[in-house]
Amino acid sequence: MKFKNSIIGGVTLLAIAMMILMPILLPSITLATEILIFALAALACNLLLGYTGLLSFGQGIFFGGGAYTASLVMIHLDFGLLGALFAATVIGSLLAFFVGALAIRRTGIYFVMLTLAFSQMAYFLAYTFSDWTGGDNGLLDVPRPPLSLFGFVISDLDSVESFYLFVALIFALVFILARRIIQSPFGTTLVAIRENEGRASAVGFSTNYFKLVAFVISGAITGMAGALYAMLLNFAPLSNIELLMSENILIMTIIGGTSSLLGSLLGAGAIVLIGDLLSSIWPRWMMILGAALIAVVLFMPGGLWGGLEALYLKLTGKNKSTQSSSSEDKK
Amino acid sequence: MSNDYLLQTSNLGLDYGAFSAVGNVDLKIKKGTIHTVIGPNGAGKTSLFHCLTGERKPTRGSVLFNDANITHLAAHKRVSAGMSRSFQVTSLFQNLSVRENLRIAAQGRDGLKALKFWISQTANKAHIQKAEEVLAKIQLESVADRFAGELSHGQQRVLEVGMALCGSPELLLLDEPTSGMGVDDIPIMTNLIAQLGKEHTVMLIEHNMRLVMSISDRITVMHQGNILLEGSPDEIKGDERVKKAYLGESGNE
Repeated sequence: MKFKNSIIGGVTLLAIAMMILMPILLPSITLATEILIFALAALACNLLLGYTGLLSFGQGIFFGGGAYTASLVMIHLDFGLLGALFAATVIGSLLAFFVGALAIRRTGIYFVMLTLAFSQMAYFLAYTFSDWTGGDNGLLDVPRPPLSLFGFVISDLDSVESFYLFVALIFALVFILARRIIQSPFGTTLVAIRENEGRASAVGFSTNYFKLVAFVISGAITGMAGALYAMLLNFAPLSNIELLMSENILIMTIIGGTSSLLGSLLGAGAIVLIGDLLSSIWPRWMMILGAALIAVVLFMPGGLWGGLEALYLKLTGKNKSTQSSSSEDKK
Repeated sequence: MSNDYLLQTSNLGLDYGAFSAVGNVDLKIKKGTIHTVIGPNGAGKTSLFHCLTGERKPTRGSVLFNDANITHLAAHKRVSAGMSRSFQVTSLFQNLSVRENLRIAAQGRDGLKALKFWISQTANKAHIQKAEEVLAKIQLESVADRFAGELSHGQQRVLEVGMALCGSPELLLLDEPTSGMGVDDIPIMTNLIAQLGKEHTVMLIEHNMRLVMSISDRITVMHQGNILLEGSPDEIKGDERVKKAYLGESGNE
């Protein structure tokens, strides 16, 4: 019990096991890298959707913003790898602060519509400022500088293996941080806000501050994911900041399951993998994605993680009451 | 000169358009008492209650709490000032355990300190202790690990009061604590409130007369937005005007 819920035990070990297995089992390591990058974005989305109950269409703004920021500071200002990642994280959190501060002034459907409006605005801004963003063509020739710390080059990250390792390391750190967050006083308050915002306010929480900080953390992680994606592709396409990106991140989060951070890794894995396998066979593969989303929402409300959890409990013959205590966001 | 009154309203009123839900109310709640507000439906009890909790901004008048003017203080900030409330319609974190409901409520007292996302929730022993203490007080230990939504209605009403208790309030505001409770459960609530009255100042709105008469130190009767009468239970019981207010004033026209 204690071990299962500690921030480095339990699901964190499962996540690390998946990170070790993915490059071995998947057809290419680049694919595994892409999965981890989107898993970062989905995990950040999950903090908002699963733990705070906020459905944000703004995630693409932070993802695209992070990708552009990292690319621009590397191209024009000669930033190193870690510097560029840091800049993208900061810009991601600032964008999230701005969007969040305005959007959380409304709740429910109006909140969703506000994030949607911001998302559209960000896309057209990126499209309009094509001198900076490359517009439709995207930003080309994004470098991937070597990983160096205090002037010592640790790895040149030229090989796909070394870049995967680097991304996996970042994912593991963010995963552990996110586990800490959801089990902190802050995280438990977010769950309380999701459950019943009126009551959370009545027991003394300024719920808007909590929602805003959740937004900022989510934006920071998403911005970092965007930066890594630009480094992976050596390219920052306009599609990073499109509404479709926000949708994809949301779909990954929902299909993976919103009750667990590991669900986000499963969701990102499933979507990226399905896309990779099917897009070469059938150009209209997105239809299958739609069907998968409908199936999960209708028949598997807990997402892939919830389904696996239920299956595990069925196989081991545990009854339902133990399921509640094993669910991740309970203490 | 020290002030005996924990809460004082003067000339407090709340209008909805042309309609005055609360007229001009001077309510004084003495420290350490159980003070009940009663009155027929539409007397303005709930509107008055909302002005005290901060849910509604009063149209006129002021609210003093511990001699500080809190008339315009936001509802959630009143918790750290030392007043907390329960709801007439049960409002809990349904999918969290009873223990976690109480722990979060205790955490709420510290307001923005709970923004700490880098420490474990178990780091603050005071909140956990408070939750355990309240759990014992409201006698729900046996169901502490069940989801709040799984409890019986009576137990949920008790937990509702427990949530307010976790804010370690000086003043406990209870909005119809027995609302919807079965007759068998009402003595539990009566005892609980009587017990709480020993440590807190309690102000409640209530319809159950047996409960009101047995535990109140003071009773304020409201009628048509104003205070009709205030007194001890015995004084209220025998008063003709109160009976009239409840039974209607037909024949007076």
